[in-house]
Amino acid sequence: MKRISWIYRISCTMLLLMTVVSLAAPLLAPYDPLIPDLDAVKEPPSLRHFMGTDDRGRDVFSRVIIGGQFSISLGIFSTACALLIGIVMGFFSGYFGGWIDSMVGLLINITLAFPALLLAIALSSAMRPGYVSIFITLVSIGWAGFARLMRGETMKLRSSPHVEAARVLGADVWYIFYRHILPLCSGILITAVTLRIGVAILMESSLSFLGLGVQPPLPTWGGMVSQGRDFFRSAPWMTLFPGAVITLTILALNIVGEGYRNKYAQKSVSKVK
Amino acid sequence: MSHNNAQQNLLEVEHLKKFFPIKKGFFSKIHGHVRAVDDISFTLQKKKTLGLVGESGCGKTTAGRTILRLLERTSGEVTFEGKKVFDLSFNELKKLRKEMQIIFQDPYSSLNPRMTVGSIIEEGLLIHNMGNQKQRSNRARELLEIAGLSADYYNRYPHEFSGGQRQRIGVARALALNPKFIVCDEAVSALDVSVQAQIINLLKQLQEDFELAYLFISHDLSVVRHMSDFIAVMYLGKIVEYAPTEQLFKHPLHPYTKALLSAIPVPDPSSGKKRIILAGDIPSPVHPPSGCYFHPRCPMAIEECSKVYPDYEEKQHGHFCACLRVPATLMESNNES
Repeated sequence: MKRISWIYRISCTMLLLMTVVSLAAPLLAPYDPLIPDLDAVKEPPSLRHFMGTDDRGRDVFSRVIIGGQFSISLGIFSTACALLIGIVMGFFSGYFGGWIDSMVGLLINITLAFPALLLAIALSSAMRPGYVSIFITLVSIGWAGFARLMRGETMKLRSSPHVEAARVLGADVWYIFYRHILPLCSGILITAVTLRIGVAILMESSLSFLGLGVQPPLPTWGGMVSQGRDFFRSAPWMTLFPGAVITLTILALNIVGEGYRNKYAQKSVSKVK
Repeated sequence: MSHNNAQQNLLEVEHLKKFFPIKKGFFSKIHGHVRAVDDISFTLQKKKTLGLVGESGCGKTTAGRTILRLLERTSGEVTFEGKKVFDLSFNELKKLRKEMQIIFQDPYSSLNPRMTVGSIIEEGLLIHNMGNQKQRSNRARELLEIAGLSADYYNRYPHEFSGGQRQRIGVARALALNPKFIVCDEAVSALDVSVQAQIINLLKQLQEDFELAYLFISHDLSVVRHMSDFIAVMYLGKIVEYAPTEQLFKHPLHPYTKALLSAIPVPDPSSGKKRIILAGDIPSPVHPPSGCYFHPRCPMAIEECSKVYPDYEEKQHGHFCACLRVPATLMESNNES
């Protein structure tokens, strides 16, 4: 546990740094990420371009941090939206049971039965590629996991004595939801959210790699990897840097999610005695 | 059916049934029912305690929950202060909820671990929009002291307390709305014996101070004897005997009650009391035995017992029993003694 804790801290710091850098990207980017500079094509990493330049002379570092804006914001917003839908669906399903539960359960199972990436490709190719299509795709795949989680937790808590006590005191469904169910699910939901953001970013990268995401010349991490693939021998930095950023982000998110789960599990064990 | 007409009844339970369907297969076809509560009737007056005893699985907890409408009934009627509990709308029921509360068995899962002790106790006041924040917290501190805890515990969390203290918090929560009736669902069963005694004394004290009526559900006969004015013995979802406490302990009528009473340990090895050992297990409430539910284990069973379920009738004054082998003539013979 001690050894995990410094990795956990580094990951947290890194995620924070990445978010801040991406948000402030337009101010921080040393070069314009879109305007080609034909005098500086495929320059290797140097002090001037410390991640090198691409086949049109654009600064890779500038493109990576601007691309991070799309990737990270898509990851966060699509997960937030999926979480909201998942919580509502899962709660109603778990609390009321009966036909509502059967319907929601079926919907969850259908969504989860498809291989996620295939479903994502199918969905996003049915729309005009861009930020919105990716967002819709990620939400419509992501909600099911949260709903299943929430449904299980709600079913478990619904019949627990403190919920029954609240019912005997006259509480309505809404009160029980926000006082007795949601707070007790928050730990497990936060863990799921961190892991899900990673999955969403990875999926966004895969879709952009396939050309279904945000369209060039706007940079995205996946799109940059895809674009650099053709020049991997002559200019490997075009692929390696965005690739490394994707890997590091997802790794950090997974470590944080895992770490939070461990922390949370320990806490709840000590609480339940 | 009323056991005592002299006073107005606080609670009347008439032919209450609660069956749980057993669903199987793809189309959730109903394959039978668990007859958890199978036609029970009793009444309870103000400031009195009715003990509900029976083996685990006999439906006593389900009975308590159905009476509070935590579960919907299958059939029958529960009347509280003249109001039919199952006919009320959500808002009417919410009003009535102030009058009827519950104390749970497990002091650990009955308190929300994320809420402070203060907010747990205030919960009822908050739900019913009573008073402002200041008044509510004053009331919660007052209730903590009534329940025998320090008012300083207000901002603490449940995990900082022992089982007995947690149970006191549960008692304070139940008292917050000034109820007239509290279901104590195995309220002391999960506690150490010494703590049990403290909680029992607390409950008795509160009964006097706040004029409470209790439905005291337990499997522990000595605890029930100490607490109750009347006792109802349940077996497989049915009440088999009902009598005033001392009457039931001195002159049990039903063979099941006799067996239960004989199982209470006596601290005197030379007492020479004979224990009645019941053969076999409690039958499944899905397929109860034919006739009297108790006949396969009953030492007094005759052939007739496997054919008809005996009437639940008043065998003596105020003493009800459902057994073919107990003659109603006991009425006269006991009056002489």
